Amino acid sequence: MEIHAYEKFWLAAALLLIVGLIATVSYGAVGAGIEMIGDEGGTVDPEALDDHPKFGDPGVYESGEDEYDVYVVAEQFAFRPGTSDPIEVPANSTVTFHVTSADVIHGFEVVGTNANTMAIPGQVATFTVEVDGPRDYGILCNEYCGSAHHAMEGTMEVVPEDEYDGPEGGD
Amino acid sequence: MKLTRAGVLILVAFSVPVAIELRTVFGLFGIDLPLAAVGVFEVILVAAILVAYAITAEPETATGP
Amino acid sequence: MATFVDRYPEEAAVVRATFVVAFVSLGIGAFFGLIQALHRTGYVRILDSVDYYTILTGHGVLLALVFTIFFLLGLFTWAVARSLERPLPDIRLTWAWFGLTTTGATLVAVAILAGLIPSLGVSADVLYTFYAPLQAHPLFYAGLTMFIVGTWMAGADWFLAYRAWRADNPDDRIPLQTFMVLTTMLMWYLSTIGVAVSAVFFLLPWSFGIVETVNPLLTRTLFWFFGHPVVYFWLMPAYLLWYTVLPKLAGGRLFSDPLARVVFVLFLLLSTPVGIHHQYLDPGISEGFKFIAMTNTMFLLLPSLLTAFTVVASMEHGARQRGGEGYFKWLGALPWRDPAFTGMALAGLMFAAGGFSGMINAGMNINYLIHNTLWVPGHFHMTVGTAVALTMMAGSYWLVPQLTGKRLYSRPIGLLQVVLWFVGMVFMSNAMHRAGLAGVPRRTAEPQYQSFDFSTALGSVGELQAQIAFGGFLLFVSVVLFLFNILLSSFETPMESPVDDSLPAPLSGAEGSPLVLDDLRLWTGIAIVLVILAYTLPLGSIVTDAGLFGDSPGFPVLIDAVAMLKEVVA
Ligand code: HEM
Ligand SMILES: [Cu+2]
Ligand SMILES: [Cu+2]
Repeated sequence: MEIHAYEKFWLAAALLLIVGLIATVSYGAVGAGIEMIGDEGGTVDPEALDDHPKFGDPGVYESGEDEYDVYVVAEQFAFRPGTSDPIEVPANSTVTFHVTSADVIHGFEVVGTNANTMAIPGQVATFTVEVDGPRDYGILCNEYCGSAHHAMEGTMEVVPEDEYDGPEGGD
Repeated sequence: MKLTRAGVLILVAFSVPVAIELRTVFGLFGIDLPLAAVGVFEVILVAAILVAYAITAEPETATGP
Repeated sequence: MATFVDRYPEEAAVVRATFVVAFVSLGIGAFFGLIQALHRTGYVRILDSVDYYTILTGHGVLLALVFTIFFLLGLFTWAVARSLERPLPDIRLTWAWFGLTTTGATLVAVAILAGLIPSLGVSADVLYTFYAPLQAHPLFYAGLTMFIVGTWMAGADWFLAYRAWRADNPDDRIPLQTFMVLTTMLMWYLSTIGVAVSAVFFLLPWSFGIVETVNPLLTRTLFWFFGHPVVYFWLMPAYLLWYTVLPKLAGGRLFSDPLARVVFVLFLLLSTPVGIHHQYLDPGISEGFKFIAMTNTMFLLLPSLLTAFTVVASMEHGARQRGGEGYFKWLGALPWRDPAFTGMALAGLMFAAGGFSGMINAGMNINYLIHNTLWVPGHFHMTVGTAVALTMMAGSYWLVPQLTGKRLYSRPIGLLQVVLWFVGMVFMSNAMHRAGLAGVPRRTAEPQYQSFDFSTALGSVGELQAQIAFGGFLLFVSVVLFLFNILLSSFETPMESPVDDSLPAPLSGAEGSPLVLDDLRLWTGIAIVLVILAYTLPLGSIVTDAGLFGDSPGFPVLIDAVAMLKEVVA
């Protein structure tokens, strides 16, 4: 089979590009420690979220010094917490989100950041973010979940440490 | 090189992404161009293409298939 | 004898029928696209936002499944008959699969559009991905199953034709176009197992109420098992045209036949074990499996990069045959006045740009920023929405005359049409990419929120919306021009040879290439092994997690939606 010299050159360049791309992504995952969503969150019974120790009373829980766990239930067409009460966390802390759905598949996107996950009934999505200075963020559902999908939104407020009056969940 | 009417159409089409992405290029250097700049740049590109056509064009019937 | 319709009149009739279905869906789908572009951006809202999702389901299904696949069915029928130089074995089988796919597609369309008339009580507003536990009317899943089974029969038809040819030509190489059709269909058989299992074993019984619950992650994973290869099922007809027709239109011939075969074999091997790259953000699938899918995906770039080379090289060869010279000056020697050529060339160019945005999608970590934002439709309107759709429209300008024996109504209108599509898509898709970076979600009727605003890096959100609406409008006008041109062509008087339909032999033919390339059994075997390796463990862990039938009851999309909406808004 005849392969033209330019063709060989192009083939080599293409392979180099591919290996380069894989290397970049691997570095991002391993070297730079960019966290991905995996299966560490485990499973829950979507029909019995009320009996769950945390999702039964979703919200912010303190888990250590400057460390917080946020449990969020997505449901047609609201986030609990997020929609009627904002998610409130102190500035300069480490926040681990645990997101699940009570009905259909939803999305959970903190607008303009890479805090973004799917909320699948029966599964818990877990990821950790470092929050810095005080700021308000929008939250939206980015997976079609039914007729009022476009109305499904919320907010997250990062407040100065001295104004933070403790986690509201787990009382 | 002679420019046909079809050639002009294609070049004008190409000029659109070039004009739109001009802003990205300037953005990389920290300069935020207003939308009007893109419009002006597009007009300049189209004018340049038309001038090139006027200079090089031969009667339409004389050009190839 | 004159052209395809004279040589194979019965096959030509089937191809015409598939094209009619394809073009009707294109027209309706494009109209829906225009409605979406104007609704999302807030310019014109002729419908209630609740009905937006009915329209969007229709747009996705009619364009991404019906238009593309019916065009493929016709194109492949044409390619098999002409490259094997014989009619199909039994035209009744051919009409049978046409009937089944058309009935299936019609049922799906009826189930979707019935959503606009609430009194019917039928709805399928589940979008073209139909993620459970959102539940559509059983008609939707049943129609879908019929449609898929119909495509399987079409594949069988082409394999039978190949077998008959092989009996008469025991020592010949498989003709290139038939080779492309057969490898594509093998990939299709392998990948549609995913949706077929999902629809027949889980969704259909569940929508009828025979089983109570589903495992949403399982049906979702099965969907993407099929959902990525379907991308290549759209793309392969375009590749077939780029490899075998575009070089001729450019005035030359294909560069290398063996390399084209290598590319199609690579697609057969690599298309399926990558579907998990659509699920980077799904809980319940471990990072390791996502990593494997990412690596495979990157290697899947290889055949497309090779195609880019061949296409450009063949075009340059054609231009030089036409007297083109210089490093870049040869570009001017190409037949830009021919809408079939220009459309395919512009489609190829857009595909290169789409490839770059695709590489970004495939990188797992960047994906977190753009997942489910408008970036994603921005990306696939360049690939399936242009590389495929524009190639199909442009190819029609050359193919339809062969099927009807009538010349094209107007070449200048054709040229304007393909250029208009290109410009419209530049506007729409560029703005969609940018809006996506700002976090604007896709699949959302009103991406305007009460408690926050989006902020863009360059320009303003308003400007991006104007570009989306304007681009969508140009695209719609382009489709209208296309349909009119084709419709008016059918009133032309028949003639001897309405278009030059000869395809010259490639520069380097198949003769010198290793025989193993044509060993379809071997490649299928390897493809199956790769799929088993990539999917056994993830599927196993999904099933052990929540059980085969999971514990999600159905959420029919028809639950008194309007009342609920009022409650939420209040
Ligand atoms: C007239 C031309 C077109 C216009 C104006 C248009 C417009 C749009 C818009 C605005 C969206 C985003 C809707 C949303 O996410 O809320 C969309 C989605 C989509 N379009 Fe198009 N489009 C056109 C042609 C096409 C073509 C030719 C194809 C494929 C062959 C296509 C396939 C799709 C698909 C698969 C989606 C995603 C549907 C979903 O998210 O479920 N479109 N289109
Ligand atoms: Cu939603
Ligand atoms: Cu994919």
